[in-house]
Amino acid sequence: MDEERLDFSALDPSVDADRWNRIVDSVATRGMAARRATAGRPSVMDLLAGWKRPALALAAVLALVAVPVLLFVEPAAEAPHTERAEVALAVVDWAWAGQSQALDLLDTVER
Amino acid sequence: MDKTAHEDAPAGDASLVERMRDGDRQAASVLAARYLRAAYVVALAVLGNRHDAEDVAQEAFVVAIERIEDCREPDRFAGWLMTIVRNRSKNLRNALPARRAVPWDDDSLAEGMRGPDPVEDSERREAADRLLAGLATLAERQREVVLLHDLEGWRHAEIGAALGLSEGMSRQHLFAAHRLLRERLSRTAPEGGSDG
Repeated sequence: MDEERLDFSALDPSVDADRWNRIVDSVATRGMAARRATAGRPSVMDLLAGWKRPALALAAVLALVAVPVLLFVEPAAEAPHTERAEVALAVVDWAWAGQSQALDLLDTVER
Repeated sequence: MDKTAHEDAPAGDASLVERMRDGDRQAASVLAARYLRAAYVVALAVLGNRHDAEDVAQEAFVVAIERIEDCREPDRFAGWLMTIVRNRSKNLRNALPARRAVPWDDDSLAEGMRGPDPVEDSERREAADRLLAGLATLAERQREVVLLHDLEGWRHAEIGAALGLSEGMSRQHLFAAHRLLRERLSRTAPEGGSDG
């Protein structure tokens, strides 16, 4: 493939080296000045990060309080409907298996 | 002469970016010296106007320095910078009033290409006009590739990394660009002279 370069020097902005070096210098100066100006203003992420530690501290306190409560408080008695749900599931299983015991069990639940 | 500075670019760029983040102005100056002309080339490929391309390249570089924290891969600073340049160039192109059509789309290419630069000698200006007229026959991506290769001296791996192309695609673009340009320039070359 043809890789021999064409002469684009007429479009080269750095032909005037002094002028180009001044432009390069100006870009660096303006860029760093803009950075210093921006550095004084916190970004949204900076603000959120500033809240990170207090939020983590609060979460730790809540965990310290919640864990003992969960460990020492007795669980509530199992709700009656839970037992019926388990029976229903068993009935479904037996129905698939074609077992007649399902009907007897339904009578039990109704009573 | 090939640009050898870019051969060490990946490690060098990452180090310079980190130093710039720490407030090292010299690092910013080195990066600007290394890539500002390439930024101009990419802007020129989009805008077709040398003076607009210079302005956009400078402003894009200033923004890149200001927001250098957004450069998540410091060793790919060049590609990140070129994305900023391309986006800003397209924004300017879209914002240009109808009466000032983008030179690539304007029939009066000569009018769009000549800028307020009375110091530039007429011979160089005519050569620039001819080159820009030839570049106008190319697709934007072909212009980017041929200018980065022929004017900046970048290799296809570097061009691909900066423009998001494979090396093979970069070579194809260059081949097509050269073919079209040589054809165009041979028709418009002044008597007794030749381009490329």
